[in-house]
Amino acid sequence: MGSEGSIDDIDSLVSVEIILADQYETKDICEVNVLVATLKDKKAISPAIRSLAKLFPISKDLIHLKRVKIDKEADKIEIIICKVDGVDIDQIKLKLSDVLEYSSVKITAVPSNAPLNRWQFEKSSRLWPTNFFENKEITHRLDGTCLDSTDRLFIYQTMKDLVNRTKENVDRTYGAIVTSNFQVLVISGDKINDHPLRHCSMNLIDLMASTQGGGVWYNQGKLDENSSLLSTESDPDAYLCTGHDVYLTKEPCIMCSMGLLHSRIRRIFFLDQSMNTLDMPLQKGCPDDFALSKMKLHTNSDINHRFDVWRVKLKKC
Amino acid sequence: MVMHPDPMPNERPMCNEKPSLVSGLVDVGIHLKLSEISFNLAEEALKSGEVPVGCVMVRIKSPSKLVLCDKDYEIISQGRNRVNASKNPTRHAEMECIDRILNWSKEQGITDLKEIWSSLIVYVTVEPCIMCARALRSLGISKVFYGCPNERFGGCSSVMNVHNDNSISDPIIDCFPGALNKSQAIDLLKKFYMGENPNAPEPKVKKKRLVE
Repeated sequence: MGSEGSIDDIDSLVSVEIILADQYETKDICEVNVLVATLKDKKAISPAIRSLAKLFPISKDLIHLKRVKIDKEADKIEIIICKVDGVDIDQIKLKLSDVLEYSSVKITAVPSNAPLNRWQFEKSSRLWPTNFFENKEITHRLDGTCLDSTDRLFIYQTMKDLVNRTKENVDRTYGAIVTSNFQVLVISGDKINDHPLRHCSMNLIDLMASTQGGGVWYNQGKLDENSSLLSTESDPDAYLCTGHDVYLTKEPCIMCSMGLLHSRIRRIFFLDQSMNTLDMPLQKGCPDDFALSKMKLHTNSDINHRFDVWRVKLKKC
Repeated sequence: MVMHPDPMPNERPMCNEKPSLVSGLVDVGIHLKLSEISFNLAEEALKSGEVPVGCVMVRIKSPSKLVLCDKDYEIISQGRNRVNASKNPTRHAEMECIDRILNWSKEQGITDLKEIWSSLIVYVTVEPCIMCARALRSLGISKVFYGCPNERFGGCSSVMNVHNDNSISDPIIDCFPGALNKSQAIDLLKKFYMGENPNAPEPKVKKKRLVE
């Protein structure tokens, strides 16, 4: 693997971006209508909260909202009564007048879901005071800080090495399987000229199988000019690609993404092809299914194995 | 190369005159035969400690694209799940079949396989998973007969619609779920997931967990 590039200037060489389920990535929020009452003054707040807690306990799907909104500029205090859906507003007003001193009741839109990122939190808060229990893990994945400069340097060097292989073998897609402590296990290009389904990832999976005493195309240590085994030690506890990452010079298609999922891969790093600043030859390999970037196959809630997917952009090569 | 002229359609004595067709394509008797071969392969997988899924790929030879008698088709590939033996989790029954066809075509000296893929009917005991569905569609295979749904990974409607998703550029696949005996396919999978213990109670919660 290449050794160029240093930790100090790593951000000028490579950038990485995670692909998460839409609800974590979106900056938009959804709204739901609720009934709110305007209170006469501050003194009315705590008795109102107490009596509403008995009469109209806040529904479970709205617990991300604070009950009261104090608008200092407009000198207005509002309190959530209940969701509007399927309630008789006149009946509610009648009940309210027994327990609450309010000046008016109206329907207001509030955020319907708990915010999952900062953007959503800010947007939600503008609509109604919202609680935000920030999931630090998600935040660090979204802003990329979960990968430190050592990780990034390795990502850069590995991708660069694979890109160079692609340039030497025009139109092949290249990939590598790597352990969590940066040991490269296998490298391979695709072989679609020989076999229409021997895309890069499918070859890598079979190469891994061959290191574990299996394999179909690479059984008994059979290699070809575009593939190599880098580790001679074999781990008796190794199970498929569990705990390993894959690096690819092209986004895998649906077949390959699912193959990697079947292999229990830990993370996928693929080279972003949208900005071709690297003079990369057009790679055949996988068809452009956008299985991860658009279909987001890895975020499908029906599928039980979870793995992270990162889009890698090389700025220099 | 010696040419064998196809007999005229009215010279096919073995065909039923009023055939009863499965999915409008295959004679019932032939269909049962092909199903049986598929299930035998699944049984063989089970005996070898693999997820019991069997697959048969049938090439339609009749100009009408219907399989009415033995001359109308040829089994060109048979396969079953071989994930554990190969330590390769992609070695599903369909992938095994595809590799056999590629080897067979090399032996036959056939270089253009397009016509072969598009003339196939795939018989498989369980709904193809997302990976296999994309593989079949990439090749241009257009007809898949299967038994039970694959609730965990199914690519032909259970989890994803890889067979007919119109964002995928390859021709769509016509799927015929239940064309093979659904309960027979499920029973085999249950046997596998119940493991070796014949006294194990039937899992109630996990009934839906079918995998290829």
